[in-house]
Amino acid sequence: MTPSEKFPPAAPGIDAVVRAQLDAEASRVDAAKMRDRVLAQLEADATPRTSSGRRFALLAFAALAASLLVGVFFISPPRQAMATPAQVVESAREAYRADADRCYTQTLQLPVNSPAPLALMIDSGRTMTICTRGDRFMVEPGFGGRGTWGRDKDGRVWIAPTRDAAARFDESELPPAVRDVVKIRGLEIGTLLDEVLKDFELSWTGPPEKRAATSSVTATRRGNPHAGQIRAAELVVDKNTKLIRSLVLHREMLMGGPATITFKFVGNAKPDETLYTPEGHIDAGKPVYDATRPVLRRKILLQNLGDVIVNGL
Amino acid sequence: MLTDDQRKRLGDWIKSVTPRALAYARSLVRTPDRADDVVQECLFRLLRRANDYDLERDGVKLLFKAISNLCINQATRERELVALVAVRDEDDRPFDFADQSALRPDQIAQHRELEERVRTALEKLPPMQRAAVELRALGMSKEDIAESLGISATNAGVLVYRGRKALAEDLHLVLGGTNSDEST
Repeated sequence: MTPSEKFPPAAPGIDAVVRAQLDAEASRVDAAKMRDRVLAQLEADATPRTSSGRRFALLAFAALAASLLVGVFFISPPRQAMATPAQVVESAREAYRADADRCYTQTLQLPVNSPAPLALMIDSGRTMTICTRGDRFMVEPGFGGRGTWGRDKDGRVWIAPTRDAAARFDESELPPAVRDVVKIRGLEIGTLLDEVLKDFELSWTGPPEKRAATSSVTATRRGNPHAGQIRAAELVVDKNTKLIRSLVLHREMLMGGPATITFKFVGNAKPDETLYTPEGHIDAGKPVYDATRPVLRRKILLQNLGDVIVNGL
Repeated sequence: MLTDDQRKRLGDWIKSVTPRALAYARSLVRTPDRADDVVQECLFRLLRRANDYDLERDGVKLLFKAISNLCINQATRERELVALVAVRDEDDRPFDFADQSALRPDQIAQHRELEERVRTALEKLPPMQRAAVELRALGMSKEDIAESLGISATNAGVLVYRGRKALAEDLHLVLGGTNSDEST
């Protein structure tokens, strides 16, 4: 099947205009590079198959059995060291680079008896993208599905609901409800791994598979968690890169049951300092209101987030 | 290890679908690097199981479904019904921004400007509308779009209509805007 058969011509009119736009973008793509990368990935992933015939399978089985017998009775080689769950998390911590820009999708499920305002504010059930660099992060879309918000390198939280203006807060200035949302929605991988290594019991999520590309570890807090703390976590770590491919956090909520926050790695963001600042998410020359403009800053919150944010729950 | 035949078959397939898959992903995510990562991951996941389905028949559909899933925020899916409004371009002829070989410099500049306007107009659409319109422009049926986006065929039609309408309004001045109906 040729590319033109895979992608039939568009109808005249708007469809044709959109198609032309996509084709123009496509014409700038170096498909050979992508082909080489994917084939390399597939090669690395491929394991010897026995599908070439029963005879080959039997021979392979016989050879394997023979080598095992030789190993058990005559050679007794040292057992191959297998990493422990703690070593997997430690390797992820060591490989974690505070200057890398990683992006994850994020979904959050609150306990069923959560107060409606909290669910509304946290956007329970909505899938978002969070990009992190160290303890900086940016969440998109923002509150109520609009704009973005995040935290900058100085720990200040900012909200940019539109491209016309943004608001910025020192951590001490945050309304309590927003502080909670930042804690629940944010992601600081380094701090999290430190906490997991220090205060959690670690075990395999399932029987470890030698050939699997990832290791799955379950972390359970020693003792009862306080409200807001993580009760348990499930980490999936890439064996080669030590990158955290996915992360599920069960965080204890003040009002009943744990909230479940799921992060899945989607890729690296292009390094961009402005990604984690409000200035990167509003048009040039538009204002960022801070403590020096409290009325306008509050107005942005009120207009975009409502009384529930400003006055707390 | 892949056999030479497998390498050839899969490599050709990747080369044939990657340009448009990347163009689609780039329109849905923030950075080209991230789009690259998404498409690479989707291709890898899809092709490591290439023996489980008919790659030639279903591969493109499955690839675009995977890309859509990774790129689009499901919460932005829209359900409102709108009326159909569509436009026809001035010459009733498909644009081809990519092939500028036979154009004069002033025409190339015009095409680039138009390409930029279309790109900007697409960016203004909500992600689900944008995805639906782009999948339609890539030749997918309403049913295929619905499957790719995880919605009903009716909703897929609505998203396409609504996206076309918004684009037509946005690009009216550029295209000279003679409206006409387009079937979904």
